[in-house]
Amino acid sequence: MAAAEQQQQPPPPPEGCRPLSALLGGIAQAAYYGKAGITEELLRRQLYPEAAPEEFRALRAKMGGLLQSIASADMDLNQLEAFLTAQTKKQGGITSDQAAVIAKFWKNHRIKIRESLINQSRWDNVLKNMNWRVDLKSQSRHIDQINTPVAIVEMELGKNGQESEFLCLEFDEAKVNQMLKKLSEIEESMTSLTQTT
Amino acid sequence: MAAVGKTMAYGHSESGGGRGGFLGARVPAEVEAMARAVRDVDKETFRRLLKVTVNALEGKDCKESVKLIAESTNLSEEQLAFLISGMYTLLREALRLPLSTFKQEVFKEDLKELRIPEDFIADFSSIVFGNRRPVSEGTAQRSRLPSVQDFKWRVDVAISTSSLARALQPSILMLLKLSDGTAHRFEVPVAKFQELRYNVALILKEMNDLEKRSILKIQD
Repeated sequence: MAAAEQQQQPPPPPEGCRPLSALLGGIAQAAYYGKAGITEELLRRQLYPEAAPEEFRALRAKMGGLLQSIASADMDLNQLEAFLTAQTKKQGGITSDQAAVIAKFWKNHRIKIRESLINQSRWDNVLKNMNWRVDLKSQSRHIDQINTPVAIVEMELGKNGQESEFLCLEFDEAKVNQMLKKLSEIEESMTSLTQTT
Repeated sequence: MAAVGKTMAYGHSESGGGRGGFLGARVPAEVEAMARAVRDVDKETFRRLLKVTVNALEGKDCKESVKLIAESTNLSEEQLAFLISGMYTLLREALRLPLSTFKQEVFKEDLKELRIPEDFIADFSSIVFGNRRPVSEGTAQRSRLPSVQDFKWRVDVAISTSSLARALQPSILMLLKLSDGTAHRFEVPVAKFQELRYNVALILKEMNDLEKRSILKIQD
């Protein structure tokens, strides 16, 4: 059904591992990509139809927990390898095949999942988009008003899952200059920040 | 100019009504009242009042000027407010009409119907049809969009969150205060910020290009 079809399908892994890859995908869809309606029952029927419900629940919980640890720490490849190796050595841990599947999944989804987690802690309005145009007065009773360009800017501000607010503003050339100056200040501030961390 | 706004009365009058002059079928009450009261005003005072009215139309603050006029004449501030209010409405209505269809003779006729003295009609007329036509900053601003009056910003770095133990993600917080009195606060992710900066630079370039192009056109 829908969930399984939307998984990113990497080149065919060893046969026994396909359902695990898809399971991780399903977990990610629900936990990080905000897809509703992905129930445990749905996943079990689609991916592990022969498994008993309790058995599947345990599997899902274990995989979900591993993924959460990896995502929360935003593990790089070294950390990931160390972590997964430790998991294979644990009592009731994972097999090395499973470790390989998890590693491959994380490599493919790391950036997207991180972005999604960062968005989850943005609770105010966020600048989503901006559109603009520049108008020029071509006719005016007062000759000094000609040649004064005016920029009309529309900013889309929104929160997660809510309808956006559109802010329409006007800028004359002086204001655009001021704005650009301030934006450059911000840019400088950020570069010096990232250089010292 | 607070006084002008508050003393605008609503109502209608019989004289001049139903004619459909530039003030419409019902002449606004304050214009009527002004037309009556202005007959007792001397020319100099009238001209000063007219100047105040034009300033008000241009969106300038007039409290001081009105005070000065009150001090030097025997008119009370309230009477002055009535006069200015009527003159303001009269001029505002006249200025709204396009010069291509609204002719001076018609304007003068309408004012004659209100029994405004000839001299004053000439003064009104020169405002509406002459070079001293007010730029109408006030009305122009009403149909313009708000502009940014103040822009404050802050760079935050999220160190850790409930979903991400090690975030170390910079983000920009902006606070825009607009000319219409509202304030808007929003977060700008780093990637969006670069887009914003690029767009603003592009806008400036467009403005410069446009100016150069139209200067050349006019010099033709």
